[in-house]
Amino acid sequence: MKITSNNLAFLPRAYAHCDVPCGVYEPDSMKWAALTCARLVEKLLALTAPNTDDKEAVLEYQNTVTRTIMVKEEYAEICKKQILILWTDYFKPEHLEKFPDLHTRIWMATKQCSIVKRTVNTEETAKLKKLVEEIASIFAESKK
Amino acid sequence: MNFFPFKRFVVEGESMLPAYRSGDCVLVFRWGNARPGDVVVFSKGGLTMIKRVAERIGDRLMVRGDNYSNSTDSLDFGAVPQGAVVGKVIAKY
Repeated sequence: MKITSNNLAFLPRAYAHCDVPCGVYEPDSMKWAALTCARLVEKLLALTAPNTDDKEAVLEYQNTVTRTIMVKEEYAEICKKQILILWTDYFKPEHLEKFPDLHTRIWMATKQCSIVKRTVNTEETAKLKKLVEEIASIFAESKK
Repeated sequence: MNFFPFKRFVVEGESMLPAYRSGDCVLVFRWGNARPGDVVVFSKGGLTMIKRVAERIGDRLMVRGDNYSNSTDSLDFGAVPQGAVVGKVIAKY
């Protein structure tokens, strides 16, 4: 019997889906968040404090620094959350057989998110990018 | 209530690859009890779902998708009571 799209439209659907309760799992969000933190730290380090006599310039500088730090804080938290989503909802016990150090990797990466919040240091942001990239590789491997 | 023993569904989603793809039609037989290894269609959280039976525990079934890395299973949403099972898949076309 030929199944036309008309026939299919009237049949009830059986979902082989992940949408209850899980979402779509992807490694891109944590990678972009780590990259954002790195860019923001570069921006912070490139700023120079103005002459303290120039009140307006000082205020503008403080405004820029504050706003940049606010976004760094936000994206370090996003990075941490995205890593944890993969850990709690995507990775399963069976993945540990192939990736026995998975828990440690997640632990160190999420800790690094906190370090990036506390510091203004390109080495720390580079380390976060590296740790996140390694977890993204494991994610890609696990999908094969 | 409809006791006709067969019911057709169209599959949507990837968690039963490679056995069942999005767009596959399946024929479900509604009588009898499903066994481990059978593919069942069941109701969960308002959705009609299709998964494979991993284990029977009393009158409940533990199910999982074949496409392991892309599916949720009973570890995530609990065992399926017999009352929620529509039937087992006996044919695909």
